[in-house]
Amino acid sequence: MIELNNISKSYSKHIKAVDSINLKVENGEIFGFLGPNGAGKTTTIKMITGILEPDEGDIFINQISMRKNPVEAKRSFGFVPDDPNIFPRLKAIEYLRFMGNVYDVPTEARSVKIAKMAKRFELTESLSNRIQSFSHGMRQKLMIMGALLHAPDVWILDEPMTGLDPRSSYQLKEMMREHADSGKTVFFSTHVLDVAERICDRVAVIDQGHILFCGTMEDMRQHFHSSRSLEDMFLQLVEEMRPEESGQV
Amino acid sequence: MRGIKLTLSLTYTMLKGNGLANISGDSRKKSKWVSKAGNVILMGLLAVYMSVLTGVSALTLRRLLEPAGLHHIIIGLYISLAAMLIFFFGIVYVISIFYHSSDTEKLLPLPIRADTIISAKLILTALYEYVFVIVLIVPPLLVYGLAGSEPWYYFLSAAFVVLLLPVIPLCAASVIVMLIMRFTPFARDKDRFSMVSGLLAMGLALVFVFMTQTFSSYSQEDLRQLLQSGIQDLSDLTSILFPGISTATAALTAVSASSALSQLALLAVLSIMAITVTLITAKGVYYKGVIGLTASASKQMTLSDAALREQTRPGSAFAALLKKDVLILVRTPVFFMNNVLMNFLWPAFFLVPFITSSGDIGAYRTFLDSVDYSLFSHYGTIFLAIAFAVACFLSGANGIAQSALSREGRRIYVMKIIPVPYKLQILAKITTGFLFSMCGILIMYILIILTIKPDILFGLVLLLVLPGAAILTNTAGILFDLIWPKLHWDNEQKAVKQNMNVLYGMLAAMVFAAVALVVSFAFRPPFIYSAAGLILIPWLAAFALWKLIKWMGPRQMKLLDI
Ligand SMILES: Nc1ncnc2c1ncn2[C@@H]1O[C@H](COP(=O)(O)OP(=O)(O)O)[C@@H](O)[C@H]1O
Ligand SMILES: [Mg+2]
Repeated sequence: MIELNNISKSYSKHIKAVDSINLKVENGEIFGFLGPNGAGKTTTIKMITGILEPDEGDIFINQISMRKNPVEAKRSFGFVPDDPNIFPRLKAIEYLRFMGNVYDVPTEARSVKIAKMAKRFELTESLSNRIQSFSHGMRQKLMIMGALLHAPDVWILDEPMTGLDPRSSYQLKEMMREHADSGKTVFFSTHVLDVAERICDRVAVIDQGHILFCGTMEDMRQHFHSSRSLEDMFLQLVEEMRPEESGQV
Repeated sequence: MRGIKLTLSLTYTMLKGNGLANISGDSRKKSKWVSKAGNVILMGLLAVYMSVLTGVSALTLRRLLEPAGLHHIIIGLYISLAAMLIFFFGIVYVISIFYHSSDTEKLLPLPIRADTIISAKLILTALYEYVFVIVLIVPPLLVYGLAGSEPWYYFLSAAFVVLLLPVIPLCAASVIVMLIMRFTPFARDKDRFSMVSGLLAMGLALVFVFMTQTFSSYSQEDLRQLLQSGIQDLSDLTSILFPGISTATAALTAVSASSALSQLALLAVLSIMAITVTLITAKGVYYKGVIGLTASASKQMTLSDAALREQTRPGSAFAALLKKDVLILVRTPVFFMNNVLMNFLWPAFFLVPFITSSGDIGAYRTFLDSVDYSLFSHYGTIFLAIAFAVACFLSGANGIAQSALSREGRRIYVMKIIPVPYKLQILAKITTGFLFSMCGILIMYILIILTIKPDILFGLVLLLVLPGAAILTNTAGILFDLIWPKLHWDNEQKAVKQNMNVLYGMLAAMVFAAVALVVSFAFRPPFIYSAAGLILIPWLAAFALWKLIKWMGPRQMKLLDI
């Protein structure tokens, strides 16, 4: 479960990248965080994961406060960043062992889990190679493996499908579904709408730091009295909220 | 004609964009200008210094050999040395300019022939080589000619020789490199290449220091004989390795203008032939070698269950953080050259003179041998302080603690998401620095023990004193990086080379060294007090700094904006 209470963040004095966001992601659901480029998705996710301090508000992961007890809270989520380019000079297996030791993953679970995930992502033969030699998609998959190794309750993924081939992206979606169905939480951001449309139980639409909509796909259709594609609804949402902006800029 | 124009414009483009030309280029404008001007001045001074050195060496050698009528062999010496140097640097330049330079990838898709690209790159490499030639061979040839009032055609030949000399060794280097790159995957690994060439350069520097030490102990007559046979061997070797180079020597030592001219003509013909061979080789193998570069050279291999279990065996978070840091330091060429190698080289540079005990240094040796290293001796106090000061300098110079966070760059976010308290992560980083510093310090310790052979008690005290220097400088060093981490860089150089924190850390280390020296020299405390002080105070000071870091570090980490 993830709870955001009145979260704000500004990088400079004038522009609020994220403005008083409230969100509650329940157990057992896949939650899609949608928005155009620069909407504030990454900023929000950075605050949830403790990379950035919110200017205001607090975040709870499984009811543990990120402000009061960050180390405990960090144990309960796994995070896949939008940029998978880290540790080029470590071998994949060294990276996974690092993550295993840092998160204190039980001995027996480790090798079994790594072998299983590597097979799903077709990385089995590349585990002893340096990350340097990996393609973008392979790095992305390795990051996912590292993030999920400690079997976290809450998954947080920033644009996870970018750069994945159809097969891997299908595998990831399967894994997300299984995880949610076992009563845990998946929270991911995307700017690709049909991905969200197919797998999300609920979505929130963010633009310019504001949440424009939060609810199930069904709610969203009713909200617009239509069975139009998500793309149409999304565009309408963003357009509706923006008219007075053009004058300010 | 069009081909030549294309070649020249390619050369120009490469020269402007080449990494060698702006080796320390910074992205910000003002500091870029300043650092460029500083670089030019520094390079200029270095060039003047080297020119004077080589010029004077020619004069000395001529004075030494002229009485025996052997002075003309000096020419052979300089030509051979220059050819060798051009060849060795040629190998390094050719690999980086022909293969690892960033423009190579952009040129590949363009409809340009391999020999045109190689011509341009060859000219570029030659330009860099001429810088060497001008510093290394022009002054000696000039000094030699003037000192012996050689005939006019000597100077004319010298001008042509300087112009043509780099061609044959450089072509040899190009052909060899192109063939190696075509047929051995080993050499294509960029990381490995920069490490090997860096190590080679350091090794050469050490050999140079060692040689000058050794030569200074020979007598004049020994030296004359050594030179004569040595130069002969060297000239023989070079004329085998680079056929045609002997014509350069022949032209310069010719007794008549016409024979000088014919030798020069021969050199020119051979040079043109060398270029032709190089271009033909380029046509045949260059593209294949370059294309191999971009393809991933990694091999596919499935780990067995047992191997997988072994390679993911559990360990503490602290050990994992430490290991990750050490691996990255050792495997990243820039970090390896700047931060790791330092620890092993400095002690060697410091102490080589003492090992080859001769001349002036012999006197120090005798002095050191006569010192009474027993307890309660004043010399012991002072020696201990000096050793502590050197250890501070050594462990501050590696810059590991001062760049602990900066080296992480954008991946610093990993430190913020893992469930490990910040103070433990910072402690792991201090430990990394401490371990590498201790490597250098222990080498120094062993060298000290071997050279001055103090009594056992003194040796033990010294062993207890030195780690304090490492812990203190590293704890102080990381403080700077916690306050001003440099995280936004696009290449690793900027994290460790263009990072003020490294400098601040070195300054702090020097302050610690100075305090130890000043107190010991000014107050001359009895050995037992100074030993106790130097063992305890650094650890206490480090502990106080650690208290500060424990309070401040996590705050800083939380605030980091990435
Ligand atoms: N480090 C930063 N410094 C200043 N502004 C930033 C920084 N990171 C993001 N922003 C700004 O904050 C806004 C939200 O960015 P981000 O959260 O990355 O968007 P998204 O992930 O939805 O594409 C954008 O306007 C972006 O320009
Ligand atoms: Mg984003």
